[in-house]
Amino acid sequence: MLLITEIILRGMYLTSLFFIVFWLLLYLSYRSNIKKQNKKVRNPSSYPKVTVVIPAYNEETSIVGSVESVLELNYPKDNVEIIIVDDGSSDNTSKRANDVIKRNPNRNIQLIKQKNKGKAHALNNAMKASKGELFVCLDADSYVDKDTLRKMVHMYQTEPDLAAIVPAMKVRNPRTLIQKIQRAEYINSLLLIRLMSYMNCLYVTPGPFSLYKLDVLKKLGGFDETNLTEDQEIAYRMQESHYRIKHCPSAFVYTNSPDTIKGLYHQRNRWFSGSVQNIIKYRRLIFNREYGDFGLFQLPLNVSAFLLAFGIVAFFINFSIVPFFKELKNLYLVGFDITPYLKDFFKFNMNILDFNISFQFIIAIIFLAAIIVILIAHRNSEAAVFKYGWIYIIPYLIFYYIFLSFIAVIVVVEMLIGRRKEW
Amino acid sequence: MVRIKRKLSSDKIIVAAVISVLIFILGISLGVILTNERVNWLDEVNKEQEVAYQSVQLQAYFLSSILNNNASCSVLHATLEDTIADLDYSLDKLVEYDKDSRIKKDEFDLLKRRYTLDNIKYWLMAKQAKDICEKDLVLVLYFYSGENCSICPDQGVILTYFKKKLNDKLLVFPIDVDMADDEPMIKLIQKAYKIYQYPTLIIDGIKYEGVTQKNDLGNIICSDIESDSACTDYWMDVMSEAENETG
Repeated sequence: MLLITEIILRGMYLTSLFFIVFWLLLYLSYRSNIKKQNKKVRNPSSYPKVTVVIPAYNEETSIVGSVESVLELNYPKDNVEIIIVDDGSSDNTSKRANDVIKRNPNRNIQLIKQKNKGKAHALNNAMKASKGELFVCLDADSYVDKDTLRKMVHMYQTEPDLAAIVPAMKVRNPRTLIQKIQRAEYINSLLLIRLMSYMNCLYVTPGPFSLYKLDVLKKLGGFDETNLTEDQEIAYRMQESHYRIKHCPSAFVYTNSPDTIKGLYHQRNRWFSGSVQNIIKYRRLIFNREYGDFGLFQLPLNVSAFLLAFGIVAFFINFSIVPFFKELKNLYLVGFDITPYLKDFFKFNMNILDFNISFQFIIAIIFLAAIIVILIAHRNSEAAVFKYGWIYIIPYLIFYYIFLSFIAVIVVVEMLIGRRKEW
Repeated sequence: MVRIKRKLSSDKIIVAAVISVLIFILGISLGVILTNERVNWLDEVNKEQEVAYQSVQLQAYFLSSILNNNASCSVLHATLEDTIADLDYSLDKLVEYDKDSRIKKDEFDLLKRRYTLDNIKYWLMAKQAKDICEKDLVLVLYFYSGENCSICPDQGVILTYFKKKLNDKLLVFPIDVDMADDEPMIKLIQKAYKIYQYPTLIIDGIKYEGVTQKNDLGNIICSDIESDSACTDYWMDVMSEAENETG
């Protein structure tokens, strides 16, 4: 039993180490491209018509801000069509949307109301009404930077074979610890997204301001209304059909992130459930040479992330929860009298030989690499590392991925027992 | 619409795999070096303890045969206590390091055997010293199994608690019965005391089988020790608990 645990543990170390080393190597090999791309921000040669769709369900507090951020885009006003889809909200979302429409009579904004049928249905509905060459989705809790559309359209014109362009998503005004941790996570993800983009391995076109070529979307049959993460599913479908998705690193979009653990849990539970759903749906692509890096590297990585989550949870239970209960039992055995132990509490008796160097060395290497990744990632997304202090970095590095691993394990268990989920 | 021509970054995957395996091997090699150092350290400590044992043995012999009085018992007792504390510490480390390591099992087993013998030697010596010096001292011979006894750690916790509370008034000599197949001396003691289940404590020649709980062990130990303040506190606690129970 002990030997099996050790093998699993060492396997986890080796896998984590491999992925970190791989990403760092990839970063080094694309460093010059990244530097060039950071400098190069030009205007598009022409301005094709763009439809920005804002699906909203009970978003009365944020819908106005989202629409206004689109209205303020540095893009010819006549070439931006805005479609707000109220997905059967029970609050004042429609009223707020109508207020914005009235305040901007010269702008092309329309409101579509539908029964509550989910975001994918809302997007498909808007697709039918869309007159643009390009189709952009903006979640109603997200806000787009003025130059984002211009930058994305420029990229689209320089690389016309692109089917979708993914923006650089950041957390908007992080206030709570949970939000600051997510800010760090998003910033790190941006580096990975950029590297995945170089490898043609993007497997999600996030809700906040991903841009699609409308005819490709139509050819693919629109968004899957049965999927929990339609933004991931459409990306998988594009990859399956060998379409190209690229990341535009200087195109920023800001999104509201959950500010409580409960909110974060629900969001990630849905994301991870969608991931499992898509991994299962597109399993034939895994280890399929026809799909190059996407089939042989990215999809196995997505699968191993769930396996790693199981390992992390087992590791956490074995090294934290079990010892905690053991100590509790020990205290019970001595009638919770801790006085004899207190006199040794401040005795620092360190023996260098006590360090389990083979494990600690690898853990140290992984942590060191993680810190390097954090620093590079912040530079990559033009974000200051300590803008919101540094305390949150500690729970981010130590506890956050344990928390996410627990969610991933719960998701897999829920799916195995057949618990049904809805958007 | 142009479909992409897929690439495979096999060169980067191979380089990353090679680097990862090299780092991993480096980690494992450090582990091997560390295990060697641990074995060497334990061996060294054991040799020092051999010398310390000779010193204690000589002191006891001197006191009982030449001086024939107990005026200098404090020296013997201090040496004994220090050496047993050292032995306890290094035995703990030995168990911990052995658990950590997948290599050098034979050397760890040999070291364990030597440490077990040392514990028995010191127990006998402590008994002798107690008689010579008429010292207020409790000796506990603690039989446990590391492999086949899930409740033994509970006894270890209770013994450690009293050891921390009473310091040099209580000397505990742990004997791992899993070593019995290699070490006939353990079998001999087991037979002498008819020890068939674990954990078992031998205190003042009396056998206590199963986990001896905190209160029971407190009563046994403190009825042997009169002078220690920790035991005075213990008796006061027992009395106040009894008063509370009677209302």
